[in-house]
Amino acid sequence: MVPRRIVLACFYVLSALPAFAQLPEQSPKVVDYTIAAHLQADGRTIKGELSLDWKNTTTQPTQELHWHVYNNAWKSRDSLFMQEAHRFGVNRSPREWGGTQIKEVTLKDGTPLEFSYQPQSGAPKDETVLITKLPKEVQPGETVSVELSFNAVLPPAFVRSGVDGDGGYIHAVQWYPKVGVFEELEGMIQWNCEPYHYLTEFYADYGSYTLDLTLPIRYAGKVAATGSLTSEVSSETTVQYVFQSDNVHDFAWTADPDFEVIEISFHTLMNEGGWRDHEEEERIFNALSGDNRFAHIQSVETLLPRDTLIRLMLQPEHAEYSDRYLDATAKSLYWFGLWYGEYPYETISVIDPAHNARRTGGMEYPRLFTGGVRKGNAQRTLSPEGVTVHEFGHQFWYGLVGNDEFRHAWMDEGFNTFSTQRVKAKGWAPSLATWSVLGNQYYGQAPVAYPSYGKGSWLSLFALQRWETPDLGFVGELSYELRRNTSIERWARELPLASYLPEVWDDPVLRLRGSHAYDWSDPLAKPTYTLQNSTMRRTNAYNRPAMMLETFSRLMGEETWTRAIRAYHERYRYQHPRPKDFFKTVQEFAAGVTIGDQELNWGELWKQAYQSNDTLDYGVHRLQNQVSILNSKQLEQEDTEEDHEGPWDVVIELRRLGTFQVPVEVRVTWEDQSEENFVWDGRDSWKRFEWPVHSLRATKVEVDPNQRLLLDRNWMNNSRLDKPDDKRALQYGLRAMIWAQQVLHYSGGMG
Amino acid sequence: MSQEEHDSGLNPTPFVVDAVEHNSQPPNALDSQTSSQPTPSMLPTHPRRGILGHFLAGLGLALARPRVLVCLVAFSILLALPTATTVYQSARSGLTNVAVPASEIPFNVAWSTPGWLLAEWKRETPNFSSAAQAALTPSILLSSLVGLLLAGGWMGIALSPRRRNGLLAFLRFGGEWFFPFFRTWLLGLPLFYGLTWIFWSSPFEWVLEQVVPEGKLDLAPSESLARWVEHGRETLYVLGLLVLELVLDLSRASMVANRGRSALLALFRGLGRFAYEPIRVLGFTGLGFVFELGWVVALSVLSARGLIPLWSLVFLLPFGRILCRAGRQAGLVMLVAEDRPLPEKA
Repeated sequence: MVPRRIVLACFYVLSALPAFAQLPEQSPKVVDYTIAAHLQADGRTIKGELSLDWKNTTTQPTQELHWHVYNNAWKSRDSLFMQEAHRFGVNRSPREWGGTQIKEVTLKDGTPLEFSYQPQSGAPKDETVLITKLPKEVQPGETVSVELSFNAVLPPAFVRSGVDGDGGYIHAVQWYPKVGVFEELEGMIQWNCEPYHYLTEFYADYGSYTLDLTLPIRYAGKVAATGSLTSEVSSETTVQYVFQSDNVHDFAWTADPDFEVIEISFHTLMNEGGWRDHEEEERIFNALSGDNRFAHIQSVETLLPRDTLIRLMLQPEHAEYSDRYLDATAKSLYWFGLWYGEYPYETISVIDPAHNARRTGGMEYPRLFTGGVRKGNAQRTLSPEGVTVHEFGHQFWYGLVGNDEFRHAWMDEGFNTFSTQRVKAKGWAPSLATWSVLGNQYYGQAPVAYPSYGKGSWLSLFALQRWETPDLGFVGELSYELRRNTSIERWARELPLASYLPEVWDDPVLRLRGSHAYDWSDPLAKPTYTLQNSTMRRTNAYNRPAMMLETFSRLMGEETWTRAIRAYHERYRYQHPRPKDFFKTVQEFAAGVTIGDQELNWGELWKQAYQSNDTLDYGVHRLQNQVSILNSKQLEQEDTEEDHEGPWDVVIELRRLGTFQVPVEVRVTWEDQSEENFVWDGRDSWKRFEWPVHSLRATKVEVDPNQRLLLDRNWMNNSRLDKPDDKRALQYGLRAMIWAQQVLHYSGGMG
Repeated sequence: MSQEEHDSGLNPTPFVVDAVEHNSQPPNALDSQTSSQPTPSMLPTHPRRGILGHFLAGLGLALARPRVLVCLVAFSILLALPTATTVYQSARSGLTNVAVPASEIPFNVAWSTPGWLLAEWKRETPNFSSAAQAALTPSILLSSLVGLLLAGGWMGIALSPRRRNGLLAFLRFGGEWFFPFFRTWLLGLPLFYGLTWIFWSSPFEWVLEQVVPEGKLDLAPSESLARWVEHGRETLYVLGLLVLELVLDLSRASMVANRGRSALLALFRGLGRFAYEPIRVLGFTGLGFVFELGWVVALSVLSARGLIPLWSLVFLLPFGRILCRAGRQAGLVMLVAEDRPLPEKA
């Protein structure tokens, strides 16, 4: 028998180890699904028998099970999804309605269960949330087993799911009834089972899935699913697959007889690709190795992701993109693995959707995602690379860290956008702006957009696009299109080779700033499904939070950020983190970080960036070099101020134009190219700095010279030069001149 | 060509760079060689040449008028100036004070530029596009109308018995033909509308419905099919536009060749001419475009390689393009006038 003292000693040693000494191997097993699904001859109806073991992991009992029946969003215009879309002015509907019919719900012993759909506010006939009553309460820690049979009819491809309509491609996602999350929400234990909203995606518990799938024989070998293939049986007319996966919170599958299936190991691509970044591996290791919270990272090798089989299901007409899809997936596996921890599954399936089912593209599911690309793309457009990296990234942000997408879409989309842009920056040369003719892209960007006037604008006649005359009494209003602006005519008119800016490159991280163009009407903290509109959803879920994360990382420095983001991922892998969990991690790792001599107050930063809608905008208001008053006599003797050699009274004024306050770096560059850096606390609405009787002129003043503050709404006002660089304006004006000449020469031959 | 050669009755060379009038064989020159009055078939006629010959003759005619060319180049600069200055002013207020991180320097805005810089500028100058477009839009109509004047000038000179060099003569011809040409321009509007309607409205939508489900390219069974249909439509439409433009040019050329004033008649003549020898007139036009494109490509490549400065394109590009267009228009009217009796010397 082991002496009690030794046991205790072991216990104390183990207790002293950091709470998260390594990545969790297994998710909590809240759900265990076994689904038998049979695709019918019509190619869109799935007959399913579902068996679920659900465990109550909370501290409260429940006598109900709440289920998502997302596929009922496509049942009719009465669904909440369609109603909300209508409210946002979107009236598109599937070409044919789909929907799921629940035939029977029973306990495993055959006891029938009552079930009903939960009416939703604004959509009383919505059927995307099903409630089943249990005969008795499920106590904390107890498991209940339920069986449910259903018929799901998928729509022709429409918003993420569906079929291509010609009996080929089928993309079965959110196709089975899926139980909601029973958890603490707003201070009480309750079901978190939102209906299918127009603005939000999905949320579910982790567990195990087994899918027994029977398909017409034409799909043999052309199927991909969330799980690993464990069995395959073919008959003359059908093929039956069994897929299984643990540690996932959803299960999707897709099939297309046209798929060209390419399988290759990640390690093969990594080792042959020549793109491994040993310096970055070292940097990350060094950043983590000194911190006992990452004691499980013993060497650079332990950072490297394990091997994974990449399965690319490609449309044959996209064969030209196979290497680009594979390369992007491999680079994603590498970089995400390096930064956040390895991808834990054996396979990842990359789906290239069919042309007539494009609307299923660009979506993520555990261990499977859809890309999307059009023919004719130039190499440096990063398409399909961009969508591939992004959708793969959801394996980490959504798949492994499973946030509530109903309320906090930014916690997957924002983290993932942030990560995507960084992978793109690491993995490829910056993308270049393109123009296209007959669907083929070429590099370059017009200095000015050719005017395009819609119906009703009399200017369109000046541009020879439309004949527009108002109602003249004797002749009614006339509106005739004279010329369609086609890509060939654009090429002939503008002659891009001569008149376009040949190379406009795009820093993927700075590209995020494009969302400053929109009105930020809601703070990030606002639940996603309550946002003003889909533009606000795009802003608040994607670029804005990514800019917040980029700003945080640049403020705390890359080393601290490397630790903070990795810790966040490791701690919440297979969990459902909330925004406060991320903030707590930031506070823990970035406490004491300073900008110059100013300590950053992360609580204040979080409040301004996340909870409120404060605008961040610092600018240089004035840069003035005046002949020093002490030397005014000397000036009188000189012909002009230009002749004056100093000293100077130098004055700069900085402005805080928004309500967001953060310490901001300031850099003054003197005429001998020396630099003076200091930090302004950024609290006052303006601040003047003076250098009386200075021997040198200040040639340049910059706030935030290192571009840390991506949240700064306007970077145009972040600097001021003593002598503005007119050359840039001349260069651009010259291109515009050449461009306008070509356009006008062309129109000189029109008509 | 010397007056003696003219007088000898030899056919004029197709490469006429004509400081002297070349189509000016006086009837009495022939009279001296024949004892009887000439029959119509024996009258001197506009020479029949190959399409290259016509084009080169047109080019020669334009090259012989450097003053006109210089003025047209200057005009092309003047016409583009409002757009360019609007853009320049905007760039001056937006780009000149921005400090760019050292990692992105050096760059040249006209060649290789960080996209974020342009994006920030345009975002903070929301009226940039609209202001530039507002400056450009009237110039589009103006240039189209001035194009008629220039076409009249080149065509008029090409068939005039005395090919004068002066700008005034050029403008006089332009002025003489402007209003008749303008009528063809007006007649062209419904034709353009009709063509656009055919390809972008019900007729082609009907075709689409025969090819892809619900007539929607998004629902085509393959992207390749959708591309073929989409690009086929675009190509046919642009070819249609080209033919229409060519027919209108032929109409104007036939007006000048026949000294006619009826736009409608000229349009029918233009259509007839196109129907009579479509390959030849299309070939002639295509040849002109090839020359023009060659000029543009050559200059662009030279400029991209730093062999000529970018600013020189402001002069050289329009020069070559104006020259080629002049060659096309003058050559076209000579082509239309082939085998017609030469006009008498004024």
